[in-house]
Amino acid sequence: MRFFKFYLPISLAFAMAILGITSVFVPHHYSDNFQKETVVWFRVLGGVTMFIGAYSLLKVHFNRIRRQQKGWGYSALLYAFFITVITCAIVNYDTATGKSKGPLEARNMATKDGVNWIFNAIQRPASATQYSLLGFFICSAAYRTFRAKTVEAAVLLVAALIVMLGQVPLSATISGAIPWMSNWLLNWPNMAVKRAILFGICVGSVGTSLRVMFGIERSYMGGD
Amino acid sequence: MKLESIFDVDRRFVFVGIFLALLIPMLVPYPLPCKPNKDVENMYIGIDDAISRGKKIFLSFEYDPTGAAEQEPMARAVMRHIFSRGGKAVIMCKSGGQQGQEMHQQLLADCAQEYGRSYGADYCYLPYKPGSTNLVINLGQSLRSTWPQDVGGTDLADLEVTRDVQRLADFGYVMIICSSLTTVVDWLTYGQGPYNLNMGFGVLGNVTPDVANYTNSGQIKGLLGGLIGAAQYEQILLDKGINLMRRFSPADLASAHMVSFCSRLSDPEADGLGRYVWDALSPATQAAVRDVIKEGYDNLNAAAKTDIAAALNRVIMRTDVIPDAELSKAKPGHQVASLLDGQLKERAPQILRRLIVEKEFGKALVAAQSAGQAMTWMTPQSIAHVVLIVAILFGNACYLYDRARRKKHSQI
Repeated sequence: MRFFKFYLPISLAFAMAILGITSVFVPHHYSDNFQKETVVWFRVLGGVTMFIGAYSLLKVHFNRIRRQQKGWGYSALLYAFFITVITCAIVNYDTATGKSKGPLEARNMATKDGVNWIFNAIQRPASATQYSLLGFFICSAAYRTFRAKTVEAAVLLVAALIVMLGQVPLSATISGAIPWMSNWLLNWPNMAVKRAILFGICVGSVGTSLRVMFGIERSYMGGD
Repeated sequence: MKLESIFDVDRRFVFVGIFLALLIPMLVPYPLPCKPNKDVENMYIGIDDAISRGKKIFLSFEYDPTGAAEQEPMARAVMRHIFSRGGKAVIMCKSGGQQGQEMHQQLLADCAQEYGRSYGADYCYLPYKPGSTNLVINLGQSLRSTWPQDVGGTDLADLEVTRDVQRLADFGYVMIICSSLTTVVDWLTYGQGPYNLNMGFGVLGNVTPDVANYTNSGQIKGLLGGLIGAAQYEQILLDKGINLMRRFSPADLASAHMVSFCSRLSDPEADGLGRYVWDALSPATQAAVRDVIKEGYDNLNAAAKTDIAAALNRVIMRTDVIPDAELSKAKPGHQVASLLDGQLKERAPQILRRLIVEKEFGKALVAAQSAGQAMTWMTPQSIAHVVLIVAILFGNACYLYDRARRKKHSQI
């Protein structure tokens, strides 16, 4: 059993990692074919995980409804919409022709059917509204928290105000120096810090990949 | 009473303040000029250069309604640029854009109508396909094995625009409109790096500082960052007269004036231009126009708008409705006149006819040389930024005054 639970997954991970690295650096048609093939495998696996994701989501919300936990009504709503959208997609009813095309025929985005109606009338405006509201929360947070309590906070406040003003065309009308200062802050101090963080993340990724390759990091097998 | 308690004001007051700061300039649009930065100019030059070399442009629309306010103006501006120059483009939809496919196609159809381009010959749309990194790797190897068919189910080998392109490296410029840094890194790692592509990005404002890393390194040749990036691109189009070259599209029919427009269109007394347009409409469109007048409802269906735009375009493309002798009626402004004398000389008759049609129908038609969506929306954003900055400064002044007063009391 230890072979299937431990040695086989580790060997596969190691072999695939070596093949993956080699295929990038070796310009040979075998490498190209390997890459093409693995990319298809990734997509197939991605499709399978959609089912697992849907199952997991429904299970979590089913338990929430059964136990009548706080906010279980939202879970019921999720079920209602899930069933409605799936039903509309399976029935595939075209209001223009008055015919049901069934689940096997591809849906056209221009068709006036249930899925398109739900998408255009509910999902599109709802997701746009949700994102728009973020702006108001950010403004409120900025107003309430930007206080020059210390020298460092004052420096941060001044930098933030310059960048905030530099991001709109009105700043150039006031003074050409404002967009210039804003760009300087973004392209020099800000960029330097971001690059340092990015390098750190990249080195960390290499370290984690090596740990997976050599079987030191085994959490993907369900262990610690 | 402590003045600094102004910071503890109910957040709903802040919301109302910002809402008003956005709403008032929206009701009275006043577009401000935007000076394009180097990254925006680089994108314009990159696309222009690719088209002049006879290369095609590859675009990935990875935005949906969530980011559409910032990213749709980018897509529109870039497509107008490509079509105005006679360029050809292949547009795909990848993860992040699956909810926006209908918007993408409507935008492409509008822009194509504006410049008289056609699907299949000048552009095509490849529908959403799952997979992010893998798709980029696949595209680098083979376009047709990744997307054998376009959105309408036609084989890519049968479309004129995709006939002679095999992979990403065959395109002159690649532009990605996306909303996350991960996507940018994917495209750079598996697309730009291995094939040394000319690649530009259009990203949301909050991602721009992260993406700017790669413009400095030279990996990204052109960046539109947020709404301001789109506005700057629109400014270039205005300066170069690309907007003037537009024919009419459904987007040019202003909803706010639809009733007066329809009344003018269906006027039985009308002669000349008005009569010609009315007669050119299909019976279904004429019925829709009459419904608008009857119901007083400020909207027309998309098919009717397309039909009206096509009828208006027939007017500006023909010489018998508005003869050459009447072109002096257009009376273009100083900036337009100088463009017509210079780089737009060959297209001057068509542009002058459009100006005459715009005059005929007044505010119901969006003027060709009017500022774009992003430029118009930047003004409310500017006002909101200024209001917020003033509020923060005022709050801090109150805080510092209180602190000084406390210090003085403690010394006493």
